[in-house]
Amino acid sequence: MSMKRKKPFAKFKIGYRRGETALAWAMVSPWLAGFFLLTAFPMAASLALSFMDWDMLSPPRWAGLANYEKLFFIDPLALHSLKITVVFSLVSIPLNIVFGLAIAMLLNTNIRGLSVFRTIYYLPAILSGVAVAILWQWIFSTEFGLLNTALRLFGIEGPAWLGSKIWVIPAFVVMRLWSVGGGMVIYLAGLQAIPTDLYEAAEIDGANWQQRILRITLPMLSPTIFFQLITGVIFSMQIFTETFIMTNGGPANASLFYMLYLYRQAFQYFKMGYASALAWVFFVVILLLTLILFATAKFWVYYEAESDEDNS
Amino acid sequence: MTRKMRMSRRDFLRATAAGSMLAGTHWLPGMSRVLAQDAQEVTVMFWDGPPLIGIREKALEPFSDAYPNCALNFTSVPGGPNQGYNDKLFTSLAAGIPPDVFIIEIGELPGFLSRDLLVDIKPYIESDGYDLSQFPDLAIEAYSHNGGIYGLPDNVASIAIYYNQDMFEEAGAMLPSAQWDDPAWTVDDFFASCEKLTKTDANGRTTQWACDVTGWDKVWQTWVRIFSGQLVDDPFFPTECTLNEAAAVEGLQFYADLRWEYGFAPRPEALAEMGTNALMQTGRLGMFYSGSWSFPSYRETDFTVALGHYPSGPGGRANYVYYFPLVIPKTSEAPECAWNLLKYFNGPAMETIIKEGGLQGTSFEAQEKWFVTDPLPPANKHVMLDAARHFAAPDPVLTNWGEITQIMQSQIDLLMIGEERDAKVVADEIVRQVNPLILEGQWRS
Repeated sequence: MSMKRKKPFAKFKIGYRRGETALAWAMVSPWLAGFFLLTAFPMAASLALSFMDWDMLSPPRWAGLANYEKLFFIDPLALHSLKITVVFSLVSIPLNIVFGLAIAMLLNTNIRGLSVFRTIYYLPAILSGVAVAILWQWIFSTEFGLLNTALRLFGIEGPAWLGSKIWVIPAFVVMRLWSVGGGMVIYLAGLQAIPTDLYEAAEIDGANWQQRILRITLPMLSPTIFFQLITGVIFSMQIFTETFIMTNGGPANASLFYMLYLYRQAFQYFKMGYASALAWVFFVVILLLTLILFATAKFWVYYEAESDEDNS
Repeated sequence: MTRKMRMSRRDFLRATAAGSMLAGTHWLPGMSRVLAQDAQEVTVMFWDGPPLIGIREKALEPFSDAYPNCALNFTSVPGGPNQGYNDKLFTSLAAGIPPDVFIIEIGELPGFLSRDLLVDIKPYIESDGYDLSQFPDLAIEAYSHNGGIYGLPDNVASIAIYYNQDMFEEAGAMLPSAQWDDPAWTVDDFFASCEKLTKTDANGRTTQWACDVTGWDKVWQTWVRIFSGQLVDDPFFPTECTLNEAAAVEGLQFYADLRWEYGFAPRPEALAEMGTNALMQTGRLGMFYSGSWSFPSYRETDFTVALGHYPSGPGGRANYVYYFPLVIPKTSEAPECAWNLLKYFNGPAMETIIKEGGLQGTSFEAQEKWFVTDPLPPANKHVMLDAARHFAAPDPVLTNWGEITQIMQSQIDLLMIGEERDAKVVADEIVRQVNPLILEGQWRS
């Protein structure tokens, strides 16, 4: 009897599950299609192409490891562009984190017009990369630029920022600082998630502001800083628009960042095989850097939830 | 009632099949041609940016009236070859659906010819008795390969010296000559004029410069030729870079010294990124180099602007002339219409293109008729026509000339920004880097 009663319910359940599964697949299928067609397939194709010579005009030819050999042992510009990209990132990322964090801390106070300040600092982050590049080209202009005009007020004759081998990378570092507003918003969210009772307890214990920052703010904010560090590495290493618009890699290849060099190989010289090899080496470099950062995380990133689990 | 409105499954399938067929036939290129009164569609692609946007399209609009069996489809990717045009062109070539007519940089042509991608238009030229002598010989020679001809010019564009005539007269300096075979206006005359034009204030700061020293490859290459130097041993069959030979180095050194040794040209710290034009417009620069695209900036100035030739040196007078070809790909389904379009472009359309677009024009006849006679400033426009006639120099025929140019440029930058003052050092490094690429880019013996 009981079997007879259960059967229609079980059938309904199976049908419902099937329907739900089908619906789930239908819902994710646009994303899946996009992922496989526009990401996974091109990635696989580029990996295959990295072992070939292909100029888009004639059929690809098998080249074995020749493209990788050229990259590491023959073409000095490939390693040069990687080197200056890494140098730029090493300087730019810490500065962006420090400035973003400092502004977030300043804006995490009870001052009047706070939302206006937050908007002002965030605004540059929403502007188009090309527009920002053109704007900064004017700011860095040697004779008429805002920056050198401001320096002249202090009796300093500014350099040819974009025309000097020495100053072009610092110029891009300064320029990147302009968009710290994007990170600032994330730090601000992190700061506001820190329980105020921790600060109250610290104050009762007589901690000064430096101790509060070092012992409470930074540890509690470390997951946010870690996130910003990872995204910062990826963002900095992929610098392209600024140099493409402002210097085209010059002067004398001083701002020939890796992505610009890759772009040239692919879309100016149409060496798609070599460009694919450059792309895969770059992917591995960024992956390694990310893994190294993840490996160091256990020494300095504090997760409250994990700590609670340990305590329990 | 509801029963009557219902469609049977069979009817539904029939209706769907009929609809699909109709939709399919509409999209089939062949059928669309039938619908368009048997006219073959011919697609042309340019890279026109301001102030040329819309001008060539307007000039070509009557083409379909002149050739009713050809329907023109005009497309343009503004900004030039490296601003998206080449991406689109090469992607369409890889997909097997390029435009029927398109423009390419002259440095790209060997790559197309070596892969046998272009239609030989010589049979059309012969059957129509089309006159090629109206174009610069060098251009036609560059478009020729194995007895065939693979394009007609999109435009011929020379570079001239723009100069502030009032400033020259005030300084008592010799004017750049507008006469192509003038025995005067030598490198020494140029140097003497520069000395007179350059002015400094009581503190030794330069307040007026004589000339511009630009990193523009076409300009420094011209100075190399003026001193009888060459970029490669043989432009049509290059085997090695010759930029480090004495004459070429002398030309490069002279050009760089105008800035760093003699102070005739503004240094980078004095020259803003967009500074040449600003310095010229404000009367602080005596002369600079440009093509006809700078005319609009010098229509209305407080001083007289005129055009002159480069000075002559041990290698005579020289110039660089652009002559990018318009070509037809072999995949074109309408090669005859494409050929007709090339003819129309170089014929009836040229008047509008020159007069409204400000281009120099393709044929000598058109340049004489509409370009040289333009009464607006700057004066001496015939300088550009004469340069195209007498001083055009070929680009080395290599499949990777664009890449080689970029490598040369990165080293020349060192000379231009003063990081390296010795032209020989720069030239030696260029030769070292470029020679393996020349071997890589050779494609005909």
